Amino acid sequence: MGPPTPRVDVSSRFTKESLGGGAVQYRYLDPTGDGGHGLIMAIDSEGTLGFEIRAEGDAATLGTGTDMFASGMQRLSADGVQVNAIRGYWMEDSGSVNLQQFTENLKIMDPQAAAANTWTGRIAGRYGYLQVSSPSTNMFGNTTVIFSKGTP
Amino acid sequence: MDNILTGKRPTDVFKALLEKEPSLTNADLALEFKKHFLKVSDEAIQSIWQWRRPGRDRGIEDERMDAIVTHYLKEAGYFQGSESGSLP
Repeated sequence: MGPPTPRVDVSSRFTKESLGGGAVQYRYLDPTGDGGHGLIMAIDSEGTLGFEIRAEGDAATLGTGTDMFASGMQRLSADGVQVNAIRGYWMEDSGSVNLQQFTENLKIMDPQAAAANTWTGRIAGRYGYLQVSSPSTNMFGNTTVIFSKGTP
Repeated sequence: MDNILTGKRPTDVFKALLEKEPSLTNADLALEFKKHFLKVSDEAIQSIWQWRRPGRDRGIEDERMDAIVTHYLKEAGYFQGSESGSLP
């Protein structure tokens, strides 16, 4: 299965901001508040993409999570921003669907398969980011996993 | 933001910014933070996105956010004696 095509294309609605040092950020609406809807993507100087996505508003007009992510990837491509890897960073107490899925998957899968079978892991896989790092959980209970280009 | 390096809690600095400009989002705060601390890992940015700011129903509480942000600042070498050093 290849990259998804957004049914609601919001690629032109992202704002681009410099984070300094070659890093950039793209924002569509605001996923960081209550009832949040939107996507924010931070791409560091090494081309690693970290993002936050929420779809708690009207998906029919504002886009689903998949619509927003696909639109964001289209926009990055159009702007010539190279994404070498996608970082999943899943925090306890943040309401992270990915962390919930990862934790559930760990009951029946090894850690890398558990990460690959999250929302982020699956959509990263559709863009060819199929290599999954060993998930690491820090002292705060936050889990980081890197999805890179290549075969599993 | 520089006050963080002299011992002010990150979330207190964020709250002070919000008092001046209530329309700032967590994404705005993270952007300002990153502009001040260029070397800090983007995981710090992703953390600030999740902050339970005043009035927000969910997210990471102040004390934990302070510890997380301080950890990434130390990791990036912003505190003297850094990495495994104690808080300033």
